[in-house]
Amino acid sequence: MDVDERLQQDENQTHLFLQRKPSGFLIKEKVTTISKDSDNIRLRDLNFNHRKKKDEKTRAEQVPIQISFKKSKKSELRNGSESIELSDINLDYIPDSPPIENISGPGNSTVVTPKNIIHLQSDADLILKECDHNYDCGPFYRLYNYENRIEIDDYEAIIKAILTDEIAGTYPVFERELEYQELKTLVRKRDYILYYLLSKDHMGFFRLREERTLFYTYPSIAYTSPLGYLDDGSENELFAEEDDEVLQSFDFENMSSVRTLDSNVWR
Amino acid sequence: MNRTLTDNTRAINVAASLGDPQQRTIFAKERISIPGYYEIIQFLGKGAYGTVCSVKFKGQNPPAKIAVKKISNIFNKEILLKRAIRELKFMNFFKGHKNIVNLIDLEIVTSSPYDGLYCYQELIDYDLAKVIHSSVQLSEFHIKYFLYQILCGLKYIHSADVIHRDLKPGNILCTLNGCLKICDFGLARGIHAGFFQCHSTIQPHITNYVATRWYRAPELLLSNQPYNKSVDIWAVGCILAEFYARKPVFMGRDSMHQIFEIIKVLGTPDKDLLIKFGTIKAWNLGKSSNNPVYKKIPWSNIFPFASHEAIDLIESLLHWDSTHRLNVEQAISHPFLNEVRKPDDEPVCLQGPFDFTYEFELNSMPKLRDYLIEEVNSFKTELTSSSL
Repeated sequence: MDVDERLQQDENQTHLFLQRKPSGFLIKEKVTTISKDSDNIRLRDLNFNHRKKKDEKTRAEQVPIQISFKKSKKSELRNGSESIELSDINLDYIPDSPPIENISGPGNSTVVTPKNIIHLQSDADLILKECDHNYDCGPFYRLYNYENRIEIDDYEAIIKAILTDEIAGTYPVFERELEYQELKTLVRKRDYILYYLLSKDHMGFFRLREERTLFYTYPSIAYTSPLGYLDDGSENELFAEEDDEVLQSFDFENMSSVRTLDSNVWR
Repeated sequence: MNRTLTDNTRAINVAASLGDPQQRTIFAKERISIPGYYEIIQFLGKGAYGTVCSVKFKGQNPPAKIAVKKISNIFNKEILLKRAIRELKFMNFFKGHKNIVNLIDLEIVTSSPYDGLYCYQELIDYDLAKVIHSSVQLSEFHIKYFLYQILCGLKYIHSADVIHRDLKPGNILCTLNGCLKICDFGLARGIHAGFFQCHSTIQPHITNYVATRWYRAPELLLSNQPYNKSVDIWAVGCILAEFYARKPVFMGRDSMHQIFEIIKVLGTPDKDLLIKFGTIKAWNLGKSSNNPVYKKIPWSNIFPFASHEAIDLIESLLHWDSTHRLNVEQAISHPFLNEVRKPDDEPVCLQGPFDFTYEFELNSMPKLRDYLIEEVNSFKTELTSSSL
């Protein structure tokens, strides 16, 4: 028996084991396997989100036509019937950073004034037609999320981590805890009213609060969450979903752009 | 186009000797403002959380090309602020080693719309992944020279009791003259035991986050126990094998598949080692009822064209048991690298171990922002004093 057959057999054995799990556990897998050949059933949903930079082809394929259609439909409904319909909650809102002068003292940084501009370089000179627009350097060199060593379905490791922390009297800290604490002091009654009546979450506080609640409610999330450097927006901009099969036939000349990404379990 | 910064020291000295910039050069379209003694060459692209362009010193001949990354919109995000601080601290700490990417200058500009953190560093076009996976012929001498440089950089990092944790060809930059530089300290971590003892509140373990799967050591895949510098050594072993294979040697689709990819080459690990890993996942691998026992395939069968020394070094780096792997100094001393060794290129970090305890004092967002600004200011102060 060759290695691939052996691997397939092992994975099928895992499949039989997983089928005995409560319903709901396999929802994602069922969806995944419907479109695939039954011989290629693969059940472990670990580290599946291999992604790579979009090439021009995939970029073209992934134009979110349906989303724009939905938006236009909504606007038509609003204009046509003039009904007051609540919009969707904007979960993707990312607040801008405060202006740096607000957080930096006057002596700490450089100020640009009309007097000290000596040279305005022409934009046309600087952008080459053939520029690939892909160059990056540190910090945040080709950013991607770091997976957690404990996998979502590694129940043994999760329980062991819970017990260890219980004995030590510790618990994982929500990775955006400081951000949450700061926003908590900034949020006003007006923001609560806007959120509960109009679903407006200007500062992203309510979304963050939801994530934090999930983190502290479910140890499985707390102990398995990845280090999410990419927010949803930037992730979508930089990377595209990629099947394992695509990964296997990947052009290694562009290998440097392959990144291992993990899904954010609470999103 | 030669974009290599061949003499980084020269660039640093020029920047420092020009003092505090009073006049500015503006690139309006990309909202970039840089000191007047720089001239913008080209807009290079939009990287993660920033815009990158190449610049050079006015009138400098030959020009030392520098990449400038303007980072904005990170000051409200805790994990990005923490990462920016950590990366800048590491780059500053390791500044000067020729096999680690160097920061030339740092600056915070406050005037809108140019506001942001500006990082000036060597402009290097290629990474090792592009080189390995290109059609360029690599002789064994090239491989020796490349590996030696990686190990020199890693020796410097490890001597400061820091683990990089994300070594892979994509994170090793390559200049046109073949000089390699380790970059991306996004997951690097100080592990000096003394700092754990000084702060009783700090847990004596490191985070559970792990990097690119194909270069991930077996103990990270199979165990939940603390790990050490040998995870970087495994990654170096993978890179060495990749030089010969011209593709990654263990390409797992997920972590279990990754383990099987390793097993197919290195054979099923000993039961004693599986017990040592201490997880059911590891234990199940050793149960013959579930899995066949694979025999080790000699690396000489996989790479029959490689020298005996190369095969021996791969064997010594890619070992199931982390305690049996060579450490970085032993790897540098391996006969495979005798031909390319230069003792002067193998310094250790004289600043001693990297102190990571600052992280535990940054317990609010204002403190994080202030610390980033302090870090930039201290960098500039150091730059000015070193030029005098």
